[in-house]
Amino acid sequence: EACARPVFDAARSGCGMEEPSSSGTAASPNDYHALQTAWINERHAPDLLPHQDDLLGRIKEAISKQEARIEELGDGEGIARSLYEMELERVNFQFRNYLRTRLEKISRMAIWASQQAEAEAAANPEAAPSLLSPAEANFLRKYLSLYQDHIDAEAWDKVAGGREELPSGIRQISAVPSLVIVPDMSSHVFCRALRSCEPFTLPNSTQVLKLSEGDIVLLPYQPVRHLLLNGSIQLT
Amino acid sequence: PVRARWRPAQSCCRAPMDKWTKEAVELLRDVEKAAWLPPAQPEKVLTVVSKIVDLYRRGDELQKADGFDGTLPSSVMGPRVYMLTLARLQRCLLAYLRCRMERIEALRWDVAGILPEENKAMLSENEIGYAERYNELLVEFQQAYDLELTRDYQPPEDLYVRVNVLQTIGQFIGPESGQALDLKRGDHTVLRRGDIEHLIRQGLIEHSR
Repeated sequence: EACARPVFDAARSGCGMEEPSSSGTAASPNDYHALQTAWINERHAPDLLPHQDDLLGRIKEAISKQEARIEELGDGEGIARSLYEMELERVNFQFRNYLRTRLEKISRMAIWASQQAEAEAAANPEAAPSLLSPAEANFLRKYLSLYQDHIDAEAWDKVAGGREELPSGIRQISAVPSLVIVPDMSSHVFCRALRSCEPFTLPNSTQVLKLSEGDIVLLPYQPVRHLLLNGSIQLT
Repeated sequence: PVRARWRPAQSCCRAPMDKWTKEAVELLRDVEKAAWLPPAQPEKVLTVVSKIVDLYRRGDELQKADGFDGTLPSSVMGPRVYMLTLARLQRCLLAYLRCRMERIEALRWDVAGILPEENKAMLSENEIGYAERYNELLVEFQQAYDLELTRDYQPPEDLYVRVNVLQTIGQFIGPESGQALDLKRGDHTVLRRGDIEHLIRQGLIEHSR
C-alpha cells in the first residue's frame, strides 16, 4: 500500500506517462484518501456515519475516466495498463465494501436507522438529510414496509380477524423491543488523532482527555463520536 | 418387579408452561439446528398466532369482567400473566420469522442471483415473495450507484489468477474485463480475478497451486 503511489497522484506529477487530454478530473488525490478514510471509519464505527454521496459521485466519475484512459492505451503499454487496472480494482473494492457495510448496517438496524433519520428530519426540517443518501433512504423505507408486510402476511393474517383483534402494539415491528437492534455505542474503537483535539471527559469519570496529533488511543465510541464527525480523529 | 422406564428430561413438572410455548420453542430449535433453514411450518406458526390471540382475549376478558380493579395487584396479576406469556410468544415468533428473513437475505448476497431450487423448497409462499421483493430492492439500490455490489468480497491481491475449471461453464462475458470467455471442464488458465470471482464462490472453479 505505502510503496505504490496512487496513479491519480502520479498522473498529476507527470511521471513520464502520456496523459490524454482531461486531467482536470473532478476527483483529486484527496478524494482517493477521503474514500479510504470514509471506508475504514464506516467499517469500525458501530453506528451509521453521515453519507458521502458527493464524494462517491466524484469517485464514480474518476473511475469512468480511468476506464477510458485504459481503453486508450496502446498494446505496447502493458505495464501501464496493469497499474491502472490494479488501482481501479482497489478503488472499486473500497467503493463496494463501503456501500455494502452501510447497507448491512441499515438492514440489520433498520428500525433504529429510520428512527435516527426521522429525528434528524424533525430537528432540521430545512437542511438536506445528512445521515442517509437518497438511495439509502429509499431502500430503508421500502425495506421496512417489506418487513412489516411480511410479518403481517406470515403471522397476523394467518388467523381470521387477527389484524383487527390484536392491537398495533403487538403487531407493529417498531413496537417490539426485541426487534429494534441498536448499535453498541459503548464498544471500544481505536482512534488516531489527526490534529489536536479540544479536551473532553469520559462518562462516569472526571478525567479530562486531550489528544494531540498522532496519538493512537483505544476509547469507547460514544464520547469520541463528535471528534470523528468533525474530522479530528480517524478510526483505525 | 416393574422396572422404571427412562423418561426424558422434559418431565411433567414443566407441562403447564409448555402448553403455551411448546410450538414457539420448537420452531426456534429447528432454526438453530438447520444448516440454512428448516422447511417452512405454517401449521405451527398458525398455532402460535392462535395462542397469541387466545391469550390476548383472555387477558381482555379478565380486564372487562365485573369487579376488576386496576389498582389492586390481585386483580392485575391475572391479565399480567397472560400478557407476559403473550409477549414471550411474540418475541419467539418474531425472532423465528426474522431469523428466516435474515438467512434468505444472506443467501441472496451469496448467490447473487436466483435462489437455487433446493433452497426455495424450504420457504413458504410468503417468503418466496419476500425473497423476490428483496431482490428488487437490491437491484434498485445498485442501479442508483450503477455498481454491482455482489462482487469484490475479498480485497484484490492480483490482477490475474491461475485456475482449474471444475465444471463446464460455457460462454459468458467477464464482468471485469468485458471480454467473452469460454470455459470447459478441465481447463487450466490464467484469468482476470474479477471475471471469475463469482464462479470461485460457487465452487465451479478453483485456484490452482
